[in-house]
Amino acid sequence: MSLVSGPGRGGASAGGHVPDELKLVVEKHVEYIQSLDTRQDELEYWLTEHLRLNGVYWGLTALHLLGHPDALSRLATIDFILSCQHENGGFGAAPGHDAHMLYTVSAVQILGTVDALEELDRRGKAGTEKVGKYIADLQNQETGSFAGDQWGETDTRFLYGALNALSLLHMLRLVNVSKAVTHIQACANFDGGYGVSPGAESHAGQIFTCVAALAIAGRLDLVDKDRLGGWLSERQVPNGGLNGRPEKVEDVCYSWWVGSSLAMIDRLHWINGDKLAQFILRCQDPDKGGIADRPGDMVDVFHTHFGIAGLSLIGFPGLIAVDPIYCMPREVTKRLLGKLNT
Amino acid sequence: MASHGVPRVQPATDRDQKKEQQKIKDYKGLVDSVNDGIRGCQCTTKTLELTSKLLKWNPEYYTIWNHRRLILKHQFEHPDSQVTNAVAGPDHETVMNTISDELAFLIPLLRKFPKCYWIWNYRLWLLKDSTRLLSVLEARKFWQQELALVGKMLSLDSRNFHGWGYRRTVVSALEGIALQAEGSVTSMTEIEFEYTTKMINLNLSNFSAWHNRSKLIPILLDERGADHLARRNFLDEELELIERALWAGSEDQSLWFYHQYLMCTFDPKYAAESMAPDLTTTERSTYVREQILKVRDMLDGAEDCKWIYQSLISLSILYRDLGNESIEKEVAIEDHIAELINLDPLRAGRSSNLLLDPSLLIMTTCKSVAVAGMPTYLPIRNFLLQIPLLKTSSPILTRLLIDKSGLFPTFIVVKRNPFEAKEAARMEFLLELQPDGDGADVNTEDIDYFSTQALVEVRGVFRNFRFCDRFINYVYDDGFIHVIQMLGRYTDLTDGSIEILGGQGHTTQKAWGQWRTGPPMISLSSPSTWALDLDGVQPRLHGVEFQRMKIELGSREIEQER
Repeated sequence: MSLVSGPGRGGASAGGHVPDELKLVVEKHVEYIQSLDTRQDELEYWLTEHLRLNGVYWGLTALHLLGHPDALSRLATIDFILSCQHENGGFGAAPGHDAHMLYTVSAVQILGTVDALEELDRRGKAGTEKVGKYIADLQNQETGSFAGDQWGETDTRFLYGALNALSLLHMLRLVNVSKAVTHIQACANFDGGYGVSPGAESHAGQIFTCVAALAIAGRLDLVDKDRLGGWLSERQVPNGGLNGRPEKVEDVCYSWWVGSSLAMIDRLHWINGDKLAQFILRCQDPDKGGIADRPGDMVDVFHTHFGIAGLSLIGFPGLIAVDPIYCMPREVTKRLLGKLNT
Repeated sequence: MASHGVPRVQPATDRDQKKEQQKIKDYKGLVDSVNDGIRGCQCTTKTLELTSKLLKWNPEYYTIWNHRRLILKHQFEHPDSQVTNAVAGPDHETVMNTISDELAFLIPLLRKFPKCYWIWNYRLWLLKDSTRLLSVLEARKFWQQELALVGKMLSLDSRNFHGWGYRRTVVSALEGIALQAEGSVTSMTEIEFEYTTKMINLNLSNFSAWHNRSKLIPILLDERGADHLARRNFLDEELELIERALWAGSEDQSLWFYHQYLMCTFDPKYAAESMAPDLTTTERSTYVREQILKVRDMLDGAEDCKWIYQSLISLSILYRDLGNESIEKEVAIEDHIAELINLDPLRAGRSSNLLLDPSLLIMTTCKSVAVAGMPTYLPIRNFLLQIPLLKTSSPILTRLLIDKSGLFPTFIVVKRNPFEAKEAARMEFLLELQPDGDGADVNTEDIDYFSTQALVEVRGVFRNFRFCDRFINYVYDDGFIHVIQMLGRYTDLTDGSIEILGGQGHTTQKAWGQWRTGPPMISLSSPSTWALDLDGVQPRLHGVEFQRMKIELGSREIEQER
């Protein structure tokens, strides 16, 4: 899956005029995502190789939410994912790239989505137990936080990723969940939000990771819901889009980070869903498919995915329901988690 | 990362195409040579230079940063390798020079790609290595330089997320035990606090700086050993600072969030961790009262500033919760909320939640729909209702009393209507349940409102409800059925238990009839949008037996399941 941006541009054909009734161009988006891996004649295809596995997760999940789960070859997807695995259980962004938490989580999510987790034991370079162990070993026993890889960068993104993947694998027992929860609490701020690490400023993306991690740990009771909901609702700007921090510019991807966080704390109605949907739809390229960060910018699969996930979250007609905790189709997480975790 | 803010590019010509193919070839060739070097364990100067070239081209290629670390590690551990000219043994000067060169190599990259995580990570790794491998004085020098560097970066982009985070990391390293000369411990809290003041004075809208300030103050006061009086004085200074700032920029949300932070000092829920945890309730009340008056003064000339109303609402609620009577009886919290909804329609769902008991379901907006076949009297029980009525001369919020056994509800007037639309021909009433009411306190004045009930539309609150699916969900309560489109999280009925997670959606059916005998009948009318807040509802639902309804949209047929 290529991370090449373009060729289209959000709102390209609107010619400055935005029609009142914007449609989600489902077929175009499907074609756009399908075409991504055919763009090897572009330099950017190669420059974005370090995001390839994430790209597959974004493209595949978007296709599932669009109701086209078979638009990518299941077998080719599994083959590619397995080709990124290392013997220690971790996954890199592409074959030959170092193992890292971010790609390991995406790999588990993708295999889960295409119902192929058992392929890890069947033909992975390492089986499920080793994948779980790779993730679990990145936990800092003292603080409960997680590193991204052996070089030690620590970020609440990795903590969330670990709980996400381990819960999907039913292997949360491998880590100290309560210490992880304590670490998240240490990242909380007076505004109800959470940062990258203790002391860091609240940021909608980190809020998503912290709130979702608490949701997986079953500790949403620790969230100051009204205060956080208030801060998050102020992310919506007059054009309907959402930003990630006060006084920053809006961006389609925050439709997800902000929206899912609000959904998890039962306050999605604190923003205007209709206006958000209109904003996301204005970021589409109605001719070539794909969604950009803002109207007029180049589309890419990252924003395409988070735009569609945002629309699904607010119940946009025709889309498959997304799970706000996992950012995967709800029916997939239901199947994977079974009754125990729901 | 993906293409944030990338404008459209011109379509490529044939010539561009050729150039592009050549670039791809060059790039892939470079990647191959670096990888070959690493695979062959050639931790040499040549490989290092190749990684430099590649990382300048593509700093997001995280694996290459790792390669670079491996080369340096090898160099530090084997100083006689061809990378260095050292003869033998760990050589501080070599390590110093290498780290120094590396840090310098990163500067132009950081300038060009200030948001690239991997560069910052690599830089920190180098610095941590300096702490590990060098003497305290030598390492400290590197970390000190970082503080200057990050100050420079923040002066160019004062909200850079990485910059602020990096600054905190550098400060905490400099304060850390590993970088202390014997016996001395240097706290930088005072300096960092001054730095936030400086940044705020440069630009009031700097939420990053206000945030950092909020984190530093408790530490600062502890380090100063501040007593109650000193803490109060400090608080007064902060209040003065934020008040001055708010007068200059009442639309600036950074300032209001900091104001909210200061108000935590007076809120028993947050006070323990605030800068003055030992204020008495009387002191807190005095402060809050003062704040209400000051914030209200800001309305003069800024009547359309939603932040002022928002602040007044939370201050008034806090003031009330501290055990005080409202400062002004004629201005109810509800009036501020009504104004807030008016000024800030995007967040009407949130503002409406301020109005009502959050344990109930609440609809937030309403389209008045005249419904044929409405029963004369509504058997309303245990609801909060917001209903549109024809406008009368009496703008009143109405409390609804229920005759529990009967079908003839009566209303009494309790409050002004917060939802009064200024120009509308009709107005909406908020009817509130009085759960223990027995209908005895009937205010005959309000009977008049009944005469308009052909327009009554139930918009509000339901106690008995269940959700069956994502899109078609039902609320069944004492003869009322609402078909709801859930937009948020929903229930899972697989094991018969009910889990309601809240969300928003709209009601697509809302008229009813024949409620006295048999199951309710549904008739369709135009949808209205609503939102709900289910906090606290969930516990009440467990153990309640629900009647399962199946309603075919469009066909008006109702099936009943048990």
